[in-house]
Amino acid sequence: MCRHVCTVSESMHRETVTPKGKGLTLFSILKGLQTFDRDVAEVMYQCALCQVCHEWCVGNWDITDPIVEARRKIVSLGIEPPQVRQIQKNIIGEGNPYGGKRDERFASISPISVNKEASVLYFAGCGAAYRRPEIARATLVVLKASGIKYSLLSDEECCGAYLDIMGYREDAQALGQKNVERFKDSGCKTLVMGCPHCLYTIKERYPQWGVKLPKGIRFVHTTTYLRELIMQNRIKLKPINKTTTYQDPCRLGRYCGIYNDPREVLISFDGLNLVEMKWNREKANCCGYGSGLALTFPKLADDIAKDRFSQAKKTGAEILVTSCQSCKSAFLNQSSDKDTLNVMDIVELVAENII
Amino acid sequence: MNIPNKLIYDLIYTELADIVGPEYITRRRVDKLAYAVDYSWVSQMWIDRGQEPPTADFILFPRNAQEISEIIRVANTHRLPVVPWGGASGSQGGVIPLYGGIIIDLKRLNRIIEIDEESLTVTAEAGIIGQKLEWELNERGLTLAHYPASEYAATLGGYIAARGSGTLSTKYGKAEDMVMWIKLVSPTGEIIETLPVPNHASGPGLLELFVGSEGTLGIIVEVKMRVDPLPEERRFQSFLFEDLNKGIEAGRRIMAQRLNPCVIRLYDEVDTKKYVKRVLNLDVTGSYMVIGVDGFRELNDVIWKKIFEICKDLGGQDLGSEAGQKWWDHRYDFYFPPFAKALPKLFGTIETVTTFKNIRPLYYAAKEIVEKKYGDYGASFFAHFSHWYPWGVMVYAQFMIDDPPQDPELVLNLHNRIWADTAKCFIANGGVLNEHHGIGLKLGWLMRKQYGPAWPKMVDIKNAFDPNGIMNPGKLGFGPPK
Repeated sequence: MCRHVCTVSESMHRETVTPKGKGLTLFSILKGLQTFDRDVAEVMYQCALCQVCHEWCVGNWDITDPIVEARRKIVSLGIEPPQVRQIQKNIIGEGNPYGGKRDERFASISPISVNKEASVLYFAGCGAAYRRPEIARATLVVLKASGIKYSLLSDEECCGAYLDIMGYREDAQALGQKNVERFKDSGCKTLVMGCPHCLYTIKERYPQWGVKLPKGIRFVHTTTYLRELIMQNRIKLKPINKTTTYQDPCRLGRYCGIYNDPREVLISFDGLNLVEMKWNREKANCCGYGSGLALTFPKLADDIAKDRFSQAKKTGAEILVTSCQSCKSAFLNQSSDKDTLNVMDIVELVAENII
Repeated sequence: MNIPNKLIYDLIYTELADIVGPEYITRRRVDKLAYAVDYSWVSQMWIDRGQEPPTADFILFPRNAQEISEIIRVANTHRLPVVPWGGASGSQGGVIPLYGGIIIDLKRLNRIIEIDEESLTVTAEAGIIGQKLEWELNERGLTLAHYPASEYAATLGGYIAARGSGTLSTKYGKAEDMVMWIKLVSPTGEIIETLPVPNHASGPGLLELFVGSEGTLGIIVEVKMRVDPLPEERRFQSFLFEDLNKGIEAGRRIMAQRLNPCVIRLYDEVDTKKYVKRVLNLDVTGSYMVIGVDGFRELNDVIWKKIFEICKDLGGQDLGSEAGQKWWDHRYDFYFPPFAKALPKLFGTIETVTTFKNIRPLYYAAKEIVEKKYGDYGASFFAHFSHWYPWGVMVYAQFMIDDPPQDPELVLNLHNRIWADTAKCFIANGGVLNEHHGIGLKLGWLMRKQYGPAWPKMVDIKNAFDPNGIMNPGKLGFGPPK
């Protein structure tokens, strides 16, 4: 069953926002007992789309697709919450959901390397570009250290994930098409992404929308790429004598099925003691910041993050590692000076400890 | 809405919002509909057929007993019904707001107050979801040992208010056997507590009065429960008997010899053929039984030997431990999609409990009523026997019509007639209306028949506690608000 694990209802404690409540709301609309209105719209956007409910569903029902479809309907009626519409405006206007200026995308990362000869294209993503540039910087450190020729897109913009999630499918498709052309033009063989939303959207959603992925390009998340670099001895790591726990980002784990790569990276550090949170891998709790919830319902997102952060602290770990910039922001925002738990992205841990 | 006009409605809203804060009250249509359906067939069918369901006027999310007390005082002032809402996992429509009013969702009261590892008790707020509490206890090597199929949704307070049973009740007892103490907000707003322990000689049991009261005598806000150590081992075995009667006799002997199994689950021939096959993929003919024991391994070895002797003596075919373990691992699957019975079928669980002496006549009489009287509709009757006592057993009987009338009134009427006939048959054969699903809105009208001359005294008790009749009106047979 879903109700005891739903990320949102476990925070709000309300029937309406449970997967069952949302399903019932949509069913009531089908039965003519309810119409799409602004209240229904708010309920439909109060979901992290984290899919933890799906993992616990004996009947194997998936509520996330109906929710996203309902959002499309809501958008078509023009009754989406204003904060949702703002996200769309930001992406269409500035190429990112946060509203940062288009020409300042790489302001905290520059100088960036644009190299048509490079086989690896690093797609930083909006989160790293505007909110967590340290992750992008760390990625560049690792790429440099490994001796790989890499490049960035000078005109990089959003992958379209939040447009898709928020119900603006056509806008997302158009952006997807633009991005694919850029990938082709780059001449890259491998596209490395630090953001699990980007990975899932580009690799899985683009083809679903009819946006054809270019042949000959491999799409990988940083964690997978790091594991390969370590296995190929392209980078060597210092020992870390610290207890570490790992947060599975929903989009990387439940959506893309990547659970082992980050763990293999972590255990490749001599001395690192990996301790799992009670709920991990397929059943890991969401950080609360995924799927744009931090932008649409920030207090709710923080309540959820607080709970997950306390689960991480319960492990007694000294480092909380994740591989998603949203998760990192979620936990950093709950962390106080008193906390001894250091929050890092996995690529930062690697970058800081390369020999 | 029973409130005379919009002005009064807004004034009451202001009054209630002042208690819990505007963030914790809602009167939106989207919320009212979400709080109009529980796990009952009737409430689901009503929505499925596009019928306007009864809805609350306000839904509140208080944080503590004090806020609930203040809400109830406001409700009394305005004569507004109050319906306590836990996990809404009940199948009897116990939380449907039949007369509108206020729904109090208790899920914000979800704290564990104390785990006393010396006395083996846990005290927690009533809104905590059962599974969450169980996980916390498990981390300390303890268990509530209450495993209802609803545990992912049901709340601790709901366990008590609905007088529920878990899968292992045969050894660990029902919720009523585990509860030690409760704190309750009375129907007039006082916050009261029962005596600190349940076993005493200080007068009749006040605690027992509230257990099974389904929100009609107040709102349970805190509960102390007995807990158990997690067993060293839990083992299961399954047997196949030639027929149901042999299976019942095996269960009776196991209980009569006080072998203390944690579970005996016996499926009749139809249930074995239909559902055991479908859920567990066991294609067998006869009556399928799962038996479990738990505790210390050495003790279990001795008990196990005795159980095997009884089953063998009655011709029970040993299907092995794997089939038994598989049942345990999938024990809830029977109640969830795709295995659960679901609309558009017409179905109901008409469970009852009685002594071993009465059990066979009762079962066959009910089967005859459903299958003969409603044979034209293609009604089927099947059962499993899942909560055993030293003196008798509970029958989880079910009826189903695969292709019922679709008109909501016709189908509801048919549903109610089958219920009425079967329930009256149970009462006539020494059974009670049910063992663990409760009364809710569905069986209330039969309470008078069940209690006989004692029923007016039950009503007197209700009136003494709840002079305005605001608490969960229309449930347990207590009728509408005054």
